[in-house]
Amino acid sequence: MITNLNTSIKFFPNINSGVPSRSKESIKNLITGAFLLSTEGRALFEDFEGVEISQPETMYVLKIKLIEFLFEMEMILNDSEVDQMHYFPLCLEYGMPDVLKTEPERITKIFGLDCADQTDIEQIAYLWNRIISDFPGNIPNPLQNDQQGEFLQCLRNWSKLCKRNQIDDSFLIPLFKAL
Amino acid sequence: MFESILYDQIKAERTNSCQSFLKEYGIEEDELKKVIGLDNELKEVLLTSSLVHGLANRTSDVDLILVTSSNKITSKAATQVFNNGKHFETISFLSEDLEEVFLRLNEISGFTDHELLKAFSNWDATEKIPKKYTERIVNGVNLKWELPFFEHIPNLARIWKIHSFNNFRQCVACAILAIRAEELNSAKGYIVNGLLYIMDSIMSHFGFVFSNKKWFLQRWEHHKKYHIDMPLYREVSSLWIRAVKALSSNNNPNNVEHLYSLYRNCIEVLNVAIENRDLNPIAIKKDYLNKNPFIRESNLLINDSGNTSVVALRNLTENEIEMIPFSEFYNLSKEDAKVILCLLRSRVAKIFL
Repeated sequence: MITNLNTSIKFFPNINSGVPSRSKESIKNLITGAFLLSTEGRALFEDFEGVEISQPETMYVLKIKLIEFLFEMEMILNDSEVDQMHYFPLCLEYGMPDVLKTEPERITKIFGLDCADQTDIEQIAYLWNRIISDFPGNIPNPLQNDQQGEFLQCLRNWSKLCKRNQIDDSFLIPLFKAL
Repeated sequence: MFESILYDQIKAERTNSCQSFLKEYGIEEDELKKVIGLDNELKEVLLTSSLVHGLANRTSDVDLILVTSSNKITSKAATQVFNNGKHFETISFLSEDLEEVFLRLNEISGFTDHELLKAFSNWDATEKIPKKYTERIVNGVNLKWELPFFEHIPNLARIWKIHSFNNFRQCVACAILAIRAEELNSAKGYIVNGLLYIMDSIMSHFGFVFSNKKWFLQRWEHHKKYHIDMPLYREVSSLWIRAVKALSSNNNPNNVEHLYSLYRNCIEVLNVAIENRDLNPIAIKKDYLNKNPFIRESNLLINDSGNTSVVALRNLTENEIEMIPFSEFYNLSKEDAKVILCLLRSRVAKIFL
């Protein structure tokens, strides 16, 4: 169900615009965003792939969870914080401009929430591939046995990046603990 | 709270789910032992998560919790193990930490609802085993097909029920405020979230505790067989259908009054202790008010650590906003509702149970 809806959407428009950030916090935010995409994001998409036709309710809630996950990315990228309970409502009302360039009113359609028993994964797979490919760089997949090395390499890169820029990399610890 | 028949059914469902999954995917006990590795002080191996709840599918990993008396555990992070094309996740906990956590569950479940919420909201920061894994341990099935820690489900379920009820309640309040503030799309979002939380709360009331939101709706449908005659079940299911329809249309959310009525009914049925049901106030931390004048009719509110700020839309006085009864939300002006909604989102204001 790839629709015309998809043609005009852009993920991570600000990161990809080339406009530089003046804050070192943006390094931490980018690393945290990449970490979450490769861990929680990959796991969430794996959940989508596993949903069976007999589980339309799970598919529906997973779509809400995907929107919540992307809104969490939005909060990370623009250095904000709000309780998780507000993610979905805020996204429907105000959108998530750092993650997805589109009008908030189109979000329910883009993510297929306009159909309660829709178990077709094609649209979600399309969106997920766009999310992964629009984020700068190759997001590793630690859920795959053959990509463990690449994930560890990323962690080493991030640690070096923090040291070079005098950033305390202990912010990664709670991320690991939350896995 | 629990009927013994239901209690036995839960246990039977859990063990059947695990056995069916392992059989379907050809996972033998020897393979599990290989994944677990050698630990002479291993007390329990628990199958947990989607396997136990009958929600595992072809992409699910096999989640194992190891309970050991060995103090060699150096990390409490989960370990990913790949074997024969299957993905296993293992994590170890000390048996003495489990005992401590069970004592704490027992203690907290005896608290008043208000105190319980306060204690449980800090759980992951203060306790040795996070909420998610505590649920998995209590619901876990061992390789003798027993649920060795299931005796703790009444305590866990009471805590979970109140915690989810409180989330539901916050969503109801925000939905009403959002309608008054003319944030109609966010109101639809709060209604959907609120209904998912109350499903979780009602299922917990009957001993079905799930830590992952993705399963609430599917398990709710599954539980029809237990609750089909329960008016509250029908009420929630009917509101869910309307909420999903509203989400997919440009119409205004038209079920917020029903949501408030559901909230009132749930207080009765779930036996939640709210002293004055019409007076469930919003309270503002007084220190925040009028501390940082910004421009005319606006204050910059800055939290204790100084790293979060919110601009209130107009001046507020303590008298105006200190205690607002839930039942008065419908009468708030658009501006007042918007301000309160912003203050709730920024954690400056809080709704108490």
